Amino acid sequence: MALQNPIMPASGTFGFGEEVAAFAGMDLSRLGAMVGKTATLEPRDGNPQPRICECEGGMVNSIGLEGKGIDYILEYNVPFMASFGVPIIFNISGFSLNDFALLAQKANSVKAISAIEGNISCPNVEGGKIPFGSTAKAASEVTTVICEVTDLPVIIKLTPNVEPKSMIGEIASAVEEAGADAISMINTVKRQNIGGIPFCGLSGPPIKPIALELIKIVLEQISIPVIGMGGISCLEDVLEFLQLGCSAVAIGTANFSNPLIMMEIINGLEKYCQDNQIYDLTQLRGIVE
Amino acid sequence: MKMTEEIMEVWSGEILKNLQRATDIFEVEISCPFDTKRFSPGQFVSIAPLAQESVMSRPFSISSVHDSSFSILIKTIGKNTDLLSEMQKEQIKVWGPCGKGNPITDLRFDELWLIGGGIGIAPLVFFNKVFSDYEKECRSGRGRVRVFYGSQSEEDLDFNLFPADSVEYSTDDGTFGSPGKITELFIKEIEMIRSKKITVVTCGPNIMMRQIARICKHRDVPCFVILEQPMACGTGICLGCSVKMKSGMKRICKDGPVFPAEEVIWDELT
Repeated sequence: MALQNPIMPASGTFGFGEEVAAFAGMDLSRLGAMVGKTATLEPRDGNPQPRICECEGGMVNSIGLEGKGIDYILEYNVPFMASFGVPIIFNISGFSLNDFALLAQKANSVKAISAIEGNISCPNVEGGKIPFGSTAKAASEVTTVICEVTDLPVIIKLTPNVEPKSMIGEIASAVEEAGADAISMINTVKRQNIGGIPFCGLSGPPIKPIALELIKIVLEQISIPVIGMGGISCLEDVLEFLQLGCSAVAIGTANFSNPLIMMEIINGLEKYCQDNQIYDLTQLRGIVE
Repeated sequence: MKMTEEIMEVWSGEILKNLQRATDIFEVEISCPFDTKRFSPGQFVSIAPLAQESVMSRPFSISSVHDSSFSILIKTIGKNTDLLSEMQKEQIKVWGPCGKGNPITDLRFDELWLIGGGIGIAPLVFFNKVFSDYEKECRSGRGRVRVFYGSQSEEDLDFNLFPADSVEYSTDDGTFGSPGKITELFIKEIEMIRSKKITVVTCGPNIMMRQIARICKHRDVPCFVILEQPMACGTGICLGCSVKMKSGMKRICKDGPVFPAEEVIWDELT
């Protein structure tokens, strides 16, 4: 999958593009890719209020995968996203291996979709139960069932909530071995009892160091591309992730405090590359440290 | 009455005026690069976080519009509102118009009652202006606007918001206006109504709106409530403010913030 630039939204911070496209100055056709909110098999109400709260210089959320379900999304949201001519990364999450297989199968049959992103890390559902992404075995199994039913590139989105930290390398290797084409990381960092929310995920600037640390471990163990995310809020952050070795990056929480942040970063990155005569983003790698 | 515009703008707004109006209450006038006629009562703007440690935008109801600016009424409740209350001639990142505006399509009422509790009065100032102007234009003798504005104490009331002949005040501590809760004043007034057709718009603490909605339902009075929940984006993408309503999940920021009271499941709100 070729991207015109390495900038995309993180799932859950972009809806399916409709609201974002309504902003004067936002040109979705300039994104590297579009990533929709997680699709589940059935419609879901998600969690009750409260759902969000600022803390630690970032914010926690516990949305609980609210959504209209994959059939609605494929019928109404994907055609809108497809009208901008950039790759669509279709994010899915299930509560069983069978769910993942069915979701991937449905997505596979839609031409407009360029890749499937398996969200095996959402920590906010089912009362904070352990997600698939927290062990190498479960991560491998879910990757296998997705890859078996689709010809599309498969991206697996990893959770940072693993113990010990070094385990992330084993999980990433297992995912690669099971057939994934890329890894995206990190999802939110688990927190408990913040602002009346029993189980929630931290995002924003405070998780950037965690993302960088875990991505570094993963990059040493795998050879498939990594889409980096976690607290990216400016061009400097983007460069840091790209220099570390990420092939692309996703902007998440920063979209909430500046609706045009992705456009500003794309403009900034273009200028940076022109000024520094960078024609291939691999030229950026290895500059840090 | 106009419909909500589809296009959202993001701009660097200049704080043109910042006036303290009551204890903890400030009226902040912000420049606007587009036609302010695009704002409809009930709509709000999102303001990018001002505090270093904040990442969520803050929603503020439009309380009045001017030629090339608009005003919001804020209550200082934390670091971001404290910072905003201190700004003069500075630039802030703003986006909007957010949310759906005025939902009142049936104008065949004798009186429009606007009931605000505390800082919940902010959007009702705009409702009052639009509907009072409309009443004057029509000269039909119908559609009178009455405002009920309650707060804890006299020092919390902003007396600059409404012409004296259109507003009735209440204070919990009895220091000004009708003593007691605004809901008590509302009950007293509505019990005197016999044949007039009333429409109610209310904004304030949920417990207050819930009580008003219940009374309206009992008396078959159309009631609209203006809701608030913590929001991260103000544009409908984060789903942080989604709540379950009778017809399904609704985003307060995008599908609201004004809702018919009968839509609301009050126990779902925090």
